[in-house]
Order: sequence, then structure tokens, then C-alpha cells
Amino acid sequence: MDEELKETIELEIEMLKDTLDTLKDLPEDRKVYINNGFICVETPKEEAIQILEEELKELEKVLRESQ
Amino acid sequence: MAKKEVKKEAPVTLESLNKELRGYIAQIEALRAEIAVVDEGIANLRAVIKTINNLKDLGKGKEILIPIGAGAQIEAKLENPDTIVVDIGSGISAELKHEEALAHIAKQIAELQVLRRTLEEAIVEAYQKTEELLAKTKELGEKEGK
Repeated sequence: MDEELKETIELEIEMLKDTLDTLKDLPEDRKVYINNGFICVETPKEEAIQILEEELKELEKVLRESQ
Repeated sequence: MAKKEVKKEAPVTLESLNKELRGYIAQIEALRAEIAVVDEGIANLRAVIKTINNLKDLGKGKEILIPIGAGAQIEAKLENPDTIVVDIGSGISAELKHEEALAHIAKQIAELQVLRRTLEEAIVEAYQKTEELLAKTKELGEKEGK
């Protein structure tokens, strides 16, 4: 894998981790949305966390396999 | 014993110096363009802070127009100006209270300012390199002219 792509994936992983931390720290009464073009769709917090964790696992796997 | 291979360095010519100089000039231009993008981002975030504060001052029930892209707007009534939905990255947005949203945006501004300083330092470094190269070019030009 070329270095530039590797750096992009590492950056994406960092961003996902940051978002996950923010989401997990969010008080229970706050609504969470998934961005969809110009609109946002309300999503249960747990579902959003699950989506991000799956995305994170995928990216970490891609990175591991490239090394 | 194996012979140690001595690698000859390419001779410095006016052409090679000019090539290097052009590289640094292009680098400075690219860094300037990146700074302009960062500045635009900071200006946008400051506008968001102003909007959030203005909405709070307007209060609940005020009729406003919300942009929906391409200059189109839709009428809406302010329901809860104390709650802001903020993009928290990776395609997710979350409800934050007025103060939390302002703090989140201030953090983003601070991060962009750090990036801006790094880019400025890189420009200064590239400028120093161009000055060194210009001096070398001048020196070599005078030698070759003799």
C-alpha cells in the first residue's frame, strides 16, 4: 500500500476514534443524527456507535493486512 | 576486502539550482493556497458562533429562513435555540447545548490555528531555502561569467 493511502487510513481511524469518544461521552438525553447529504436522519446513539465501531474495525483490518 | 564504492555527487549547475528553486517556489504557492483554505474554515466557524449567539438572542418562536443549499431557503420557526446539532465527524451529528456547541466550535478554531502556524513555519523555511539558492545561483553565475 502506498504511504499516502496508509496515512489517509490512519487519519480516518483517528477521526473515527475521536467521534466515538465524543458520542460515548454524550449525555443520554441528546439526539444523534447520521448525515445524509443536506439532511440529517435521527438515529439511536447505540446504532451510531455500532456503525462507527464496524467502520473502525474494517479500517484497522485494511491497515493490518497492508503491513 | 571489498572495495568501498564512492558515489559521485552530481555537479551543481545553474540548471540544477534553478530546478530546485522552482520546486521551493511551487511549495510556497501550495502552502499559501492551503493557508487560504484554513482561513476560510476559521471565518466560517466564527460565522457559526455569531449565528448560534444571534439565534439564542432571537428566542423561541421567531420565524427564520433556513438555507437548504444552492441559495434556496425554507421558512421555519425557532423551536429550541438553546440546542444546536453539531457535526462531530465521521458523518455523525449530535445535539449539544448552546455552551457545549460554542466550546466544540472554539476547539475546531484552535486546531485550525495550530495548523495555520505549522503552514506558516513551513513557508518561512521554504523562503530561507529560496534565499540560499538565490545566493548560490548568483555566486555560480558570477564564477561562470568570469
